[in-house]
Amino acid sequence: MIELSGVSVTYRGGDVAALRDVSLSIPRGDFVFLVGPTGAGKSTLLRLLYRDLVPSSGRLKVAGRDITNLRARDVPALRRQMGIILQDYGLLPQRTVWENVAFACQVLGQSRREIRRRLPEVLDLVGMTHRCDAFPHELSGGEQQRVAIARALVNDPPLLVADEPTGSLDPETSRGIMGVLAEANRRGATLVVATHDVAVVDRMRRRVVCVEGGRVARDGRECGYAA
Amino acid sequence: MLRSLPFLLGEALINLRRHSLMTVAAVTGITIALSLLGAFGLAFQQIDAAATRALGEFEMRIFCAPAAPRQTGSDVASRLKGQPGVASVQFLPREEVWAEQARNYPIDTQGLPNLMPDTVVVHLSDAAEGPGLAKAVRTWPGVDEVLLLEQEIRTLLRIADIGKAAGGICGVALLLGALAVAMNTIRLSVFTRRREIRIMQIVGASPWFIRLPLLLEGLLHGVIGGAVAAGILAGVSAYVTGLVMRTLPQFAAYGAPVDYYALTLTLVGGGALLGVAASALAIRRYLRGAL
Repeated sequence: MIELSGVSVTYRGGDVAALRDVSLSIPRGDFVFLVGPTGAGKSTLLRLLYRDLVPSSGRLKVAGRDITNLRARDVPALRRQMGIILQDYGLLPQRTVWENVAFACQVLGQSRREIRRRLPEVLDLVGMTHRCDAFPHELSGGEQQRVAIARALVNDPPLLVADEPTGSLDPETSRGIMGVLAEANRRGATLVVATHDVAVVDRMRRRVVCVEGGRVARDGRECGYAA
Repeated sequence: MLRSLPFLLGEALINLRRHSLMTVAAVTGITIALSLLGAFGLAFQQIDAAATRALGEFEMRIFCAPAAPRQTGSDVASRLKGQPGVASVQFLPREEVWAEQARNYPIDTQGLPNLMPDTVVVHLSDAAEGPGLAKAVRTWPGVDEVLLLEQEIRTLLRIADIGKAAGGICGVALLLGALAVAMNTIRLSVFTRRREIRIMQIVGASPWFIRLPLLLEGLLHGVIGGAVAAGILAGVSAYVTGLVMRTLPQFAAYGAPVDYYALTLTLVGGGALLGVAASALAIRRYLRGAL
């Protein structure tokens, strides 16, 4: 599903390296945690996947397609094949829960009938059916994150990318969020989750890629990292 | 894209309400800019009409030589018809001219023989052609004298030219100012939405999917702003016209009638263009930034 070969990302004309010669392979259906201290390069790696950043060198493939030199006009199509969950939830403030999730369907040009069919199911999955008329500012952090997950899941994307999905949530809520992501993985989606929540990683027992100083330090089942 | 069109149109209308404060700011900005521009346009139109009217009141009088054959006057009149800058030509035989003099000045003309020559009166449609025409006519056989206020015409034409040039420069400066005001207001409106635009991009919205509702919003801001400006100008114009008619009726004839239909159409159309152009420029920056 994802192939990185010798990928580096540098800023300020090469003075600052966010990623150095990273090679990584994530097969379809995998559930991978990216762990590491703040500034290690986890978010940079994720941003590469949804083409929010362009690698300075190396090659990058997503869903069998080389996106290293993807043209700007092809980026929306790439993003429509994945669900992206941001740390700050990224909800549209002037829209209700229903409208926020529906927006991901409207972008694909889906009909109202289709949207009405899909949304109850996904809102039920994240446990937000009862708040579908609420605006983001009326929701707690955990609820907002659930809405963001629902928006990412609504089109059944084969790839889910999440940046610190439990970053500012209490343990109980974090467990619920991870349960939803695990369910998406069980349904066949590939997941790449950046986090420094060791408790969550230990509990989930999935593949863990540890990023330190812009390099892949470890890749295995153990976290081997203390936040 | 076509399938999404009803949704995008709906989005543009809903966004006007969702971002009501910015809608008011954008519409106000465009209204002020277009009102100033429209007011200047109307004032310029009135001054231009007054100048044209004043220049159109000049006439040229051609006096035939006393010894010239009697048909000289009618020949001159025939030659002048169809010349550039000539509105109308009237031949006055010396008897008719003398009779008019006698009517106007009975004491001064009493007992005198006819002292007036055959005369041709020319009304000019374009005063600028007058001096050149007068110069040519002076060389025609049988013509004794040509009377035309050439210096006055030249002075008036020069004033009109300077006025037009200054008006043109002011107009362009005002247009640029109006563009800047409208552009900044709409850019501010788009700027407040940059997070929204970013989120749309993350979800996979194509540039056109993001751009179209914002362009439509810009169009609506422009149309509403243009319509409000047209209303304001129509009201002010009617009031000023009434005021001039009451207080300075002698100047009323020099003004041009205001075509309210054309004024509304120009301001609404101009507002629409302004709104779309300002939106397009503002959006381009944010769309270019993230993709």
